[in-house]
Amino acid sequence: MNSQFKKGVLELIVLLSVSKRDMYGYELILEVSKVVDVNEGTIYPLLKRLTNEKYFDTYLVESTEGPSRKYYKITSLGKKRMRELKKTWNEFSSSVNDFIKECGNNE
Amino acid sequence: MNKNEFLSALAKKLSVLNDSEKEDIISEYTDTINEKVKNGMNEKEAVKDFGDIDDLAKEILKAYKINPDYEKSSESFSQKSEAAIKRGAGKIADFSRRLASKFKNANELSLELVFEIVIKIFLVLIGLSILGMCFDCLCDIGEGLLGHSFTSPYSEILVTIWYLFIFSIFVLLGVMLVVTVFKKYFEVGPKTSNKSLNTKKENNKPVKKGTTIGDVLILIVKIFVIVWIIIPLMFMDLFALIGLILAIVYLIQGLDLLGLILIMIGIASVITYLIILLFKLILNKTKLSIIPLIVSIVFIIVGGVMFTFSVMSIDYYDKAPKGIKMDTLTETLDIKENARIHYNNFYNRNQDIKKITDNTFKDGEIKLDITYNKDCYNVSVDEEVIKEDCDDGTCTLDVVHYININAYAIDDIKSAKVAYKLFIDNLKDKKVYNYHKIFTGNLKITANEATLAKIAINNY
Repeated sequence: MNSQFKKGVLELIVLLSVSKRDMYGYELILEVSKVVDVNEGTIYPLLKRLTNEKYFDTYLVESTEGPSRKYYKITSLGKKRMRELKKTWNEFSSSVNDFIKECGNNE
Repeated sequence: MNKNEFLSALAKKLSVLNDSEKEDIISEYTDTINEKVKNGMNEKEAVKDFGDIDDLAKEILKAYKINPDYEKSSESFSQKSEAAIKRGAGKIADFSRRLASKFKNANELSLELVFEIVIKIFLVLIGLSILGMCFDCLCDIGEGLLGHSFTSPYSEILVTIWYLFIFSIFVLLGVMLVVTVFKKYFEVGPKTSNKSLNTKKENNKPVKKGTTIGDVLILIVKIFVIVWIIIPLMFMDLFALIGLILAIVYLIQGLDLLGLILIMIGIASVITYLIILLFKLILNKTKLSIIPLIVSIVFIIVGGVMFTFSVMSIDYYDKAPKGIKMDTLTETLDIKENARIHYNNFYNRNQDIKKITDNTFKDGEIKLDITYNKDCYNVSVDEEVIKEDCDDGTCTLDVVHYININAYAIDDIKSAKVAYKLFIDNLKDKKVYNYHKIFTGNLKITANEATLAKIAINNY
């Protein structure tokens, strides 16, 4: 898939996933991979950035099977950002779709 | 690569980050690899999924460049100060822009608005000068009342206090006038600021001219405020603080100056409050509690009352102060003829001259006793016998014995120190004496009755 498209929409997908429920790193990678094929390595930098920009909060949960896991939780600021990105995406994708339909007649 | 090779190689590439961040990231990747291994992958495959380790490290570091907070820890001092200066300059540029836009957002910019503002400034200036004249009057009245009902140095202190008090009120009223008149130009309601977000771009072009004029006007008003109001206020604040320190010093020495201290604190607070108020006005933050102002005015009033009481409880004695060291110069003279005593006192005309009759004295024998303070007054006696010349035959005296008492006040640091020390010591006991009397002396002339009759005393 075109990496330019992926990069732009990755933030939206990550925000949407975490807004469904709090997740830890690996869990989130799996979720996102369901939507787009993503380089796992780049998820963590993105999570870091989103956390630093106060869209996410993090907390640790003790695990019986191993070391404690860091969970990501979306903040109200993050929710606001998510709504903005969703809106932008919808506007963008619908105008692109309309244009495709238009050009489709000429094929 | 296996897990540990990957993790240590990654850690090396991330060494520029601080330790806690690095550990955080490494532990996340460790957990992910462990998770994947648990789900059946082997280490090599799990690591491969991350892609090229150099690209990965680059991506991770990119995330930190976005967040300036992380860079702070690794910056050198010069970089930090440079950044601080840039921030400061940015802030200044920022609030002038914010100010202009706030002004723009709060008002419909037009030529009428400009005229309105100019006229208001003009009116405010007239208002201020009228206020100023009123308070000048009040100052003069105060000076007249207070200046002449007390002897100096009290009158001077009280007059200065009155003047400061009136001036503070004048400035306060003036500032309130300016604020009320011009406040509405800086107020932004919630509606208007939201609008500005969306319509800012559209309004840019046609409104450009108006913004510039408004901008300049605001700048002029601000400069006016700073130069003519804030800077003098700062000087007054400085003097009030100096006065406060002096008052505390004297309080420690034992003078009852608590009232004066309260006044000084109150005045200093009022002035500081005014300065802060004006600064906040300039920076458009009109949130300022009025409580400190009220508290300081209360301080001034309470302090004023206390000080007045304390001043009024001071007793004034019109004589030389207690505790001064006096010396006596005694001269015994023998006069045969009529004598004239000149008491040449060059400083003070109110000297005491006493004639004492002592009939145990022989005829012609006189004793002069001059009591004075050596540090403040200098006395010497000399005599000459002169045959008075009279052409017209009207003088009845042939030979006159002139006795000159030369005296003058010593006006130097030593005498000033003596006077000062006496003043302070007696003030501690709430007594004030006539300190001019230090700079003079008392003359006693003792002789028998017959001789005293022959002595004429001129003093001028």
